[in-house]
Amino acid sequence: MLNIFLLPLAILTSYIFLDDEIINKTSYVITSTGYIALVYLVITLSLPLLKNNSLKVKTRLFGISAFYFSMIHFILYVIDNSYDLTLIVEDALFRNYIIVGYLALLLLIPMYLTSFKYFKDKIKEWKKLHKIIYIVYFFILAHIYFIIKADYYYLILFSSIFLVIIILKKYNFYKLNE
Amino acid sequence: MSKYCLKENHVTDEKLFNQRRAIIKSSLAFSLLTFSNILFSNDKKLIFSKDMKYSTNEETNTFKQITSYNNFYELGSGKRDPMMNAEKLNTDDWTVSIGGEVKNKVTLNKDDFINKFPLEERIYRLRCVEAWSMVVPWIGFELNHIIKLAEPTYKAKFIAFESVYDPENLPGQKRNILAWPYREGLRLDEARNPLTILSVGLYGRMLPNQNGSPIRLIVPWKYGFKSIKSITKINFVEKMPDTSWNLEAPNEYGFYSNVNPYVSHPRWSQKRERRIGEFRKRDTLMHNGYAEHVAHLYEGMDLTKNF
Repeated sequence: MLNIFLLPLAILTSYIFLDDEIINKTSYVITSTGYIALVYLVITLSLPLLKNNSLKVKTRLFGISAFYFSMIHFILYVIDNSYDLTLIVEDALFRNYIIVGYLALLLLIPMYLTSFKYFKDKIKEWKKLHKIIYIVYFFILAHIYFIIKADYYYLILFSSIFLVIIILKKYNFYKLNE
Repeated sequence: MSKYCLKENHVTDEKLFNQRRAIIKSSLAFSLLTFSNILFSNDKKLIFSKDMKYSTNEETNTFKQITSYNNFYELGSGKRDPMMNAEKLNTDDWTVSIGGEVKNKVTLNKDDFINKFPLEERIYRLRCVEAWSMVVPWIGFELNHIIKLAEPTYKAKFIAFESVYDPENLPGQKRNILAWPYREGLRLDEARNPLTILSVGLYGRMLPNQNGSPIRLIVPWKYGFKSIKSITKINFVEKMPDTSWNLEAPNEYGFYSNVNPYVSHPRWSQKRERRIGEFRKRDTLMHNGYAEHVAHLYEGMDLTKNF
């Protein structure tokens, strides 16, 4: 947990205080934490594709860290607008990128909870439940789509990664190798 | 003989001594000069007057903020990209052709813009469509001077501007991010408004490449993307010209694109803005605070339709 969650968080924090070339700091942290969460989600999805199963523990940690970074991403957005609650309500009702953002965040919560033993014991089907990660990923792609002005580079990049992961899982490449 | 005594033939002749000094001085000066030329190729100081009528007395953003947080997609779509790729914009032998429905078709070069027109400092607010803003001390001259020079005919109703097109060198133009070359336009009465200027510099010096060197438009009551950078063509036309952002998303970026807190972008609010360097967002003002000078241009127009 230390390496996977706290280290990038510490690096990001040091950037904000030490790198005076970051001009719009609030926007920078909000964007960075969002992208870190997405990259962690990609790792969470890809790690089980590897032949070596000993990495299983880490997969869970990446998933949990992805959740923490999305929460920070969301909290920073709230702080950024906290002095105007009407703006937050307006965003939640009318802005597509915010709506799909909330959906992704809400769906992450049951996955987060069932990564702990207490809830795993209560919900035996937790593995099936975790399939909603694909829906979360889709909402995140929509989240990016709705905020882009013209340059779709990162959307295409993360959509392609998503597609490759789905194809690899579909054909069960990793299971054949087990 | 004490050790402090020198023989006459060991003493350098005064004339020679001074010559040596001069050589060292001039070579030092020369190397400093070439060095500073490499460092600050755009660092020529401009001669200008200070405008009091239209300038704001708000605190200006720093040179660093203004030159390292830019939207200039030709040099990359990230905010730092234009600064990082600045040298990829080649402004040597730059010319701007002025034509269309005019009596005098003229082509001006880089130096013409600095020497032919009365430069003044205009400290303007700049509001980006992405809901952030800055205060910039531009150096430039009213677009009116170009209009007078070109003498538009009765047919001219709009001005169409075109920016640099150099896909071989400009990283952003290697992909079809926007309809290249970047295009913008103004209605003739908007262009004639004394607030509208062509800028050649900021903070008393020539524009850095990332800010739209060697010459760019500044229309302070409109969203930043209307203020087209690195202009190569100015055409007076009869019909409303195409603009790049309007071609990209017609329902999001209209021809007018006046700053208006009451008309939100379809995907985000325009009620507030972050002044770069401040933490709390501030209210966005109608026409970016320039309503007294420009509101009359849009009398009788439905601004929710003509956004």
